[in-house]
Amino acid sequence: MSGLEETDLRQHILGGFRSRIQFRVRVYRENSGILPLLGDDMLFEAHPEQTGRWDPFSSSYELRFHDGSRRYFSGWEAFYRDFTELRNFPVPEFGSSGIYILVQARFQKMVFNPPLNILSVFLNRYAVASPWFRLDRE
Amino acid sequence: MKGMRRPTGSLTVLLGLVLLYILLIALVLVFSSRILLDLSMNRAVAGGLIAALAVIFSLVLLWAIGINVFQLFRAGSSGKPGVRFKFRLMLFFLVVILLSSIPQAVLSVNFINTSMRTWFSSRTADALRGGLAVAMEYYGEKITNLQTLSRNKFVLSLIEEADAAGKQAWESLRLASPDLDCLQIFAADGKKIFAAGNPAGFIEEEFALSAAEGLLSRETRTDGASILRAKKSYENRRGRFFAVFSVILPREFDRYAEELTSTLETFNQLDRSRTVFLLAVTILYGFFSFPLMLLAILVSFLLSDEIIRPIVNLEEATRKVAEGDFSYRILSRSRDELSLLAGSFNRMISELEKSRLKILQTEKVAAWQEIAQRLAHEIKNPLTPIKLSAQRLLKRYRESPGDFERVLDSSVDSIIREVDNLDKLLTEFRNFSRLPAPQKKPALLKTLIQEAASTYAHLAEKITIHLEGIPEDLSLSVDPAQMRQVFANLITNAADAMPGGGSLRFRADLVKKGDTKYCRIQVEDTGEGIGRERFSQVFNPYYTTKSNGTGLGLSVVERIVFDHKGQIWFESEPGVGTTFFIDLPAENP
Repeated sequence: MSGLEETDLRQHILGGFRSRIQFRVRVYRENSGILPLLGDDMLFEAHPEQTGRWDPFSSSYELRFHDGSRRYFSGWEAFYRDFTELRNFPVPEFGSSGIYILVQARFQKMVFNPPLNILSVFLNRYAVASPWFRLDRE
Repeated sequence: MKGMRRPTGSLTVLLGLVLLYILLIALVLVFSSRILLDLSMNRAVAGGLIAALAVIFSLVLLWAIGINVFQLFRAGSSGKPGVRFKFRLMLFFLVVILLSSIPQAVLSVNFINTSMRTWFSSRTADALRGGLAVAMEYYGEKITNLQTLSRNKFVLSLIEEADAAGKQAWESLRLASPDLDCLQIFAADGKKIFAAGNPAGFIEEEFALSAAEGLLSRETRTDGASILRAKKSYENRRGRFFAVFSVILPREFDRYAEELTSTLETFNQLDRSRTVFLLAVTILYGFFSFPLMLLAILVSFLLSDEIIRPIVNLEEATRKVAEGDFSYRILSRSRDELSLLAGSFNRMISELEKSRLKILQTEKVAAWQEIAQRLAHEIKNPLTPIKLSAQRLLKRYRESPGDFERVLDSSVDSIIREVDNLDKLLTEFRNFSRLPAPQKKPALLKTLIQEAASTYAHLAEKITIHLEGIPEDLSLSVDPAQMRQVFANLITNAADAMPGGGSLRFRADLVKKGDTKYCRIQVEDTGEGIGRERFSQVFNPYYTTKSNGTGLGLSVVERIVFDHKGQIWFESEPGVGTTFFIDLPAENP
């Protein structure tokens, strides 16, 4: 993801701030005939989030997953790898004919706490979004 | 009777704006509560939608205000009544709006700023950092104690006895380390051998077996309890074992610790972005309040319309009456002071109309009396020479019949001439009194004047007629024959006023009086002019200064112009010349 500086992110997290990645997952079915003019059918959409922070008590990186579970990492590399990947996210089955998945990641370097989260409207430099990636289901 | 009533259209618009105002308030409430909800749920604020709506609302309102301002300036430049008053009212409303909204905005932002400074002061920072340090020290101490305990040889000796000595050994262990909440001893295969202390801190056998030796991961249970554990393996004569030491942290320790770090994180965020945050709050406040302020300005436009409408109606009614329309009335349903004024005005116009009709009746009688007198005078004038000629003939016939023929011709000629004059006089009077109603149709003004002037081509050597000041395409809805007569009479009049020659200049312009557009025709001669003492008599029938005039020429002109719903007047300077002004409606009736 362009704009996502690993060193900068690590400094942020070690500075006591939380970072968040929101994945936008959409499942589509391609339309045939004249229907493509109307666009493909969106069958499913979900926005799983992962939040990472430094836990000063356990002196480890804490990663909170989309299902609410947490995992602690003593090393940065393992934490960063798991933080920037979406794992074990259940995508419903819709068959395989013409089905494809679009995924986008929106990274928020600093998660503003209330009432400061109104700043997320104004401070774009803390947010980065990747392009949409298409995954075809064969 | 014509009249003017407050139109219901503006009331509908006002009602619509009030509904829009309520809708905007509702939207503001919904959005603000949405933001509050987002804030409470720690979600990113849906800023894009809010900003877009605020901008769209503001743009629509700005557009509506722009149109109103444009109309106000256009009305001002065209001299419409009530514009200045409306402008002053608008300024007044604007000042009131600003006076009420600016202090509110400043107060709100200042309150937020003060609250932020109070809540997020350096004391709070110290308290938070101190609290975190205390919590971490407490936590670290528990960890250190646990690690120390698991490595302590005395403790290990007590543990070795625990499977045999049981409760006594556990109590000795508790005396050595009061922090310890429970102890479990497992065989090397994970089989539980001994357990003592608080059962809430016990670890499952399978987890105990699979965990590596040393400090275990902190376990946070669903009831909010957190447990620190250390695993230690040992061997004695009976075989290999491992012990798990557990310390139960105070309930909700994890949650409180997380809240503490989160609050400290918020504090650090604010410390880093305090200026931007205040700016963001101000902008957000503006997003909500700016459209409301614009709406208030728009409403004040309509309110000012409602306020000035009776005054404008009164002004228009006054103008109509001044233009001679006494049938105009102001209609009003309300019962305020301005309506009372309108009622008084209507009564005044009604009385004025009655008085005017009375005066007109009196003037009419007086005019007929004057006409009768003048007609009698004009008829009597030729009767004297007729009578004298007849008496002369009779006398000569009786006294010297031989000389009768010599007198006969001259006397009969005189009688015939005077009778012809009488005939001409009566014919013109009949024509004047029976002047038909104008048969209007579009006609080019310049052509009409040229046709009238061509009749007087024989005067060309003496008088120069200029028509340069008349547009070629200027068309009027008039009776061409009557209008030709008007110009012919004016040319005759001018020619008589310039016996030694001169110039006669025609000019035409479009002018606007009230809501009506007129064509103003000027006929300017360089004749002897009219003395001021004769101004009031110029248009009177049978008033003439010429020996052979009937005195009906300018009366006919005035009558025709009046029948065309026009006006005629003149300006004159003795020795310089006279200019007649004729205003004729420029639009088709």
